[in-house]
Amino acid sequence: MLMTSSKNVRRVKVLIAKLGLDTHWRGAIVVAYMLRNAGMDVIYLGNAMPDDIIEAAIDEDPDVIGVSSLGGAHISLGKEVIELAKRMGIYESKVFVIGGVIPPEDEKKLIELGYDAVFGPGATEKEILTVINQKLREKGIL
Amino acid sequence: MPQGSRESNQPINKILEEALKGDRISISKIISFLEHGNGEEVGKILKEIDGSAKNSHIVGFVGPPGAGKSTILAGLSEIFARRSRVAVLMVDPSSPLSGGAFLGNRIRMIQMIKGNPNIYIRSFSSGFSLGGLSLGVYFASKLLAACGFNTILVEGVGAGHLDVKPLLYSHTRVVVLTPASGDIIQMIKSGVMELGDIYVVNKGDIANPQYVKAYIEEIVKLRRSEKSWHFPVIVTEAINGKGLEDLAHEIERHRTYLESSHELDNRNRVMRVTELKDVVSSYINKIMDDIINEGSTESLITFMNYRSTSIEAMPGILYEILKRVRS
Amino acid sequence: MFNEARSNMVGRPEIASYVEDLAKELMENGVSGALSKRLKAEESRRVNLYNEEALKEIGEKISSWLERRLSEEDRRSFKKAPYLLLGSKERIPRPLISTPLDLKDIDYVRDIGFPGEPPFVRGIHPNMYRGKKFTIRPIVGFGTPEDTNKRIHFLLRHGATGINIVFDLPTIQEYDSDHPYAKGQVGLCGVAIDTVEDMKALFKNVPLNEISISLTTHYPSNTMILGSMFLVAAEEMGYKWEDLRGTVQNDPIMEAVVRTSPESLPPRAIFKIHVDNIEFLRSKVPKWNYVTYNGYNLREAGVDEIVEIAVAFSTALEASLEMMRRGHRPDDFLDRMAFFWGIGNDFFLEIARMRAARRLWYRITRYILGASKERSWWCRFHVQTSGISLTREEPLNNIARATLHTLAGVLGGAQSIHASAYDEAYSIPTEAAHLVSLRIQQIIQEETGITDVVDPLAGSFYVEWLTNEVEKEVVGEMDSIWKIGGIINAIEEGWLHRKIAEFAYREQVMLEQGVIKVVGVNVYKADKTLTPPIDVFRYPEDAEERQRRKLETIRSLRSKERVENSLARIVEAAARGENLFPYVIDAVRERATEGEIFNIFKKIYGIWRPRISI
Repeated sequence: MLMTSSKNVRRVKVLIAKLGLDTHWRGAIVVAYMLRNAGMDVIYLGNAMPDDIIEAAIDEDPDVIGVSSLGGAHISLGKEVIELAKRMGIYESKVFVIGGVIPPEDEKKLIELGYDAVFGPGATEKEILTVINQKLREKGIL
Repeated sequence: MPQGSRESNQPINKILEEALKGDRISISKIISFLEHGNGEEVGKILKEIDGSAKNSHIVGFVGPPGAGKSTILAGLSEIFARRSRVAVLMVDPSSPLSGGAFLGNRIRMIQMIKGNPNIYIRSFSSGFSLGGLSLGVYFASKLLAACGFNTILVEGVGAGHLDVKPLLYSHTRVVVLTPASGDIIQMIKSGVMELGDIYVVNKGDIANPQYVKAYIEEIVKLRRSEKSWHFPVIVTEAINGKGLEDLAHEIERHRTYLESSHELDNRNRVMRVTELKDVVSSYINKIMDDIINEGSTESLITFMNYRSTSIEAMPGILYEILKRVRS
Repeated sequence: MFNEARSNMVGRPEIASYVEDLAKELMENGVSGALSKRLKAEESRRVNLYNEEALKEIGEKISSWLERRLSEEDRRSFKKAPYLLLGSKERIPRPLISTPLDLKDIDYVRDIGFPGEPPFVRGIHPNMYRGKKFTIRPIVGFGTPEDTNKRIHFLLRHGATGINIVFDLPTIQEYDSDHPYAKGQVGLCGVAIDTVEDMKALFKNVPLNEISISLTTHYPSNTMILGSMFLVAAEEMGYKWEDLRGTVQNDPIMEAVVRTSPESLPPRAIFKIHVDNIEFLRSKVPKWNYVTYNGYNLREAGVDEIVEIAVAFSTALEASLEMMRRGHRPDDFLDRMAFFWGIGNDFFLEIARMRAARRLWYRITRYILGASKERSWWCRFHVQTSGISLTREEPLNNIARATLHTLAGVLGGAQSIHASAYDEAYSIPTEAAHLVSLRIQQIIQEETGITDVVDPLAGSFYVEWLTNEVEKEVVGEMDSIWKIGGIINAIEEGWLHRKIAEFAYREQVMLEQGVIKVVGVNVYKADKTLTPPIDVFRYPEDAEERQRRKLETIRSLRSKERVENSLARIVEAAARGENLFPYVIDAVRERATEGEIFNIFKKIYGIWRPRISI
C-alpha cells in the first residue's frame, strides 16, 4: 500500500544526502520529489560526508536515510555511514537505502554492509516507494 | 558528536529521563513523540515539561521567502552558542495535495555551524493545523527548554498571514525584510508588522536598505511612544555576518525588557492561551474528521442531505464529539 | 594591466552609464525588444525568396491535399510534439510535412546567407570542414598525474589532435587530496591535481605549443587556481604563454547551479571571479578560449535544448556587459568566447539549434553589444554527445546513439566533437570504448563525404523552419531571464534550480509511464542474457596515498612564510576590488595548494547555499 496523505496516518520523515563531493544532484532531487509527493517529509541535505549525515540524523530523527552516490565512493564512504550509525546507536530504528551509479557486483556488498536496499539508476518511483514502505514495516517503524 | 546510547525499545519515561539530562539522541526521540505520538504519550511527556518554556527565551522569526532568515539564524545561533545551548527550529509548508513536505532549510545552515555541540537544529513541516505552525514545534520548544536550552530560535513558514502563529508562540518577535519594497507591503497586509518587536532589513549589500528602514521607523513611531521598548530596526548583510552581533544584542535586550516589565507575563499568557486553543481545536478537528469519514452520525446525515443548516446541526455534532471524548 | 583598465574606466564615465542604460533596456524590453529596435533598418530591405504566385498555388494545393489525402486523425494531430529525453517536448510541435509555406517570408541573403558571413547560419568558416576538420578531442583523466600522462601519450599516438583533461572530484570541488572531504574519491572520475608540481607531471613530454589543451575546470574559482597552475607549469617547462593554445571552462552557471558541493561561494562572487578570469586570460594568454559556456552539463542536469542556449547566452551577455563596465571594448575580448553544447536525441532540432545559435549570437554581439569585427560575431562551439541518453542496458546500443548524435553535430557545424563512449553508464571509458568513439568521428570524416559540403541541410523547409522556431524560443527564454534581472539574479532567487528540479521530475514520470521511450529499457526489452557483459574500468586504488605523500613532501620543501604572504596578498587585492588572477599566480608559484587558495576565496566571499524548494 503506497503512502497516502491521510492526516491520521503517521508521516514518514526521510533524510536524503549526496555522498561526498559528487556534483550531480538531479537524481537525488527527483527522489526527494517522489517521496514528498507520496506524503513524506523530506530533508534534503545536499553534499555531506558520513559524519555530517549521522549528525543530521541525530537531530532530525528521520525514519529513512537515503544516500545518493554517483562519484564512485559508495563502498568507501557508504560503509562509514552504516558504521557510524551503529556506533551512535541509531541504526536499528531506521531504514538505510543507497542509490546511484553502482556497479552490479557491488550491490550485494552494500546489503552485506547493512543497507536495507540498493537502487540502481533505472529504479522507478513505484519501486522506490514500495521497497521503502516494505522495509519500514519490516523494521517495525510503520 | 554526542556519546552513543544503547538502542532498545525503551519505555518513554526512560527516554525522557535521558533527554532531560541532555542526551541528544533522546531529545530527538522525544520530539518525534511529540510530533506524532498518541495522545497518551504526548500527555505523559507534557506533564513533565509543562511550564519550562517560561525559563527560556523563544525568539520567532518571520519574513518573506528569500529574505535570508536561514542565513541570519545560522549566524545568530553561532553567536548565542558561545555562551549557552541554543536550538533552531525551522518550518516548511506541507503540500496541500500530498501532505508531504520538502524541508530545505537545514541545507542552508549546516555548513556554517555544523559540529557545534551547543547548537541543535531540527526541521518541521507545517502540517495542516491552523496558523501554519504545528503544535509539535511549540511542544518541542518546551522540551528543549526543559533540557537546558536557554535560547530557542524558531523560523516560520514565510508566507505572510501564516506567520502570525509562530509569533504568538514566541517571547521575542523578529520580522525580517529585504530592501525590496514589495516585501514590506506584504508583511503589512498580513498583520505581521504590528506584532514585531525587532525589525531586520537584510541583504543590505544588494540594494539600498535605507528606504525600507525609514518606512519601518515611520510605522513603529506610534508604538515607540506608547511603550518603553524602542522597537529597533537593524540593517544586516547576513552573508557577511554584518549586523548580526547587533541583532543578537537587541534580542537579549528585549529579553531583559520583558523580564523587567510585566510584558513577559503577558507573552507567556498569550502562549498558554494559544496552546490551549490549538490543542482543543486540533483534537476536535481530528474527531470531526473521523465523524465525517464514518458518515453515520444522525446530525451529519441530515445536514449533508440539506435537511438542516450547519447552525442547526452543530449541537448534535458537538454532542457526538463529547461522547467520543468521554469514551 | 588591470589597474590601467580600471583607471581607464574612471576616465570614461560615459561607458559606465552606457552599459547601465543597456542593462536597463534589456531588463525592461528583453532581448527581443532590444533586437527588434536595432534590426528595424535591416528589416525594411528584405527580398522574399519564394514568389507570391508559387506560394499561392502551394497554399491552394495543400488545402486540398489535407482534405483528400489525410485521415481525420492525421489532420487533427498534424502538429505533433516529440517526447524525447532532455527534449523541448511541447514547445515546438512538429508538422507532418513542411513546405515553403512555413518559410513564406524568408529572405535567403539576410536569413540564411553564406558560410563565413553574417548571419553565419551556415557556419562560421567559408569552407568549414574542407578547410579545418572538426577537432577530435578526447577526454582523459584518472588517478595521479603520472597515470594520466601515460594515457595522454597513448591518445596522441593514435591520432588525437587535442586533449581534454578532466579532474577528480576533490580537485573540481577545490579540496586537496589529503583533505577529509577527499577521502575515498581521489583519482576516481578524473586526475588529482593539488599543486603546480602535479601539473608539470601531468604534461611531462607533451609539446604544449603544438597540442591544444582543454582543461575542464568547470568553475570560475577553480579555473583561476588550476589555470594558474597550468600557466606556471608551462612557464617552468620553458613555454611562453603567448604560444599556448587551449581552453578553460570558467562557467559561473556550473559553479552556482549545476554543481553542488559542501561549500559554495555566493553567485555574485563567482561572477566576479569569472570576469577576472576573462580579463586576465584574454590579455595574457591570447590564444586561449578563456571561457566555454557549458550548456552541456546544465542540460544533463535537467533542462531542454532551448533553456540550455538561453542560459549560456544570457551569462555571456552579462559577462560582456561587465567587461565593458571595466573599460574593455567588445571587439577586444569577444573573439575568444566559446560555447559547449550537448547533443541529444532530437536529431533535426539539434542541427537547427546550432544554426539558430550562430545567427542569434551574431545578432546579439553585433547589434546589442556593438561589436564590429567579424571574429567577435562568431559563435564557436564544442559539442559532446549526451551522456545521460546512454543506457546501462545493452550498452552496445549506445554506439548507435552516439553515432546519431555525432552526425547531428557534424551537420550542425560544430568546431569540435566528443562522442561519448558506450560504457558511459558504467564508468569512465576503457581504452577499447575510447577507441570506438574516435572511430565514429573518423568514419564520418573520411568515409561518408558529408564533410565535403557545407551546411548540406540548408534550404530544407523543415530545417529552416525549425531554425527560426528555435531562435524565437531561445529569445523568449532570454527575455524571461532578463525580466528577473539577469541570470545572476535568477540564480540567487532559485529560479534556475527550480526549473531543473521540475523538469527532471517531470521527465522521470514520463519515463516511468513510457511516454518517453528508451529502447532496451522501457520498450523492446531483451532477455538479460543477450546483453554481453562489458569490461568496466577500475580506478587505480592507491592514488590517494601517492598524492598524500607528494603533498607532505611539497609542504616540507616550500617556504611557509612566502606562501602565507602570497595568500594574504590575495585577500588584500580583493578588498581593493582588483582582479585576483595575478595574485593567485604568485601564490601558485610559491607552491600553495588548491585547497589553501579555495580557503582564501571562502574567507573573502563567504559561503552560500542555493534556495531549493519544490
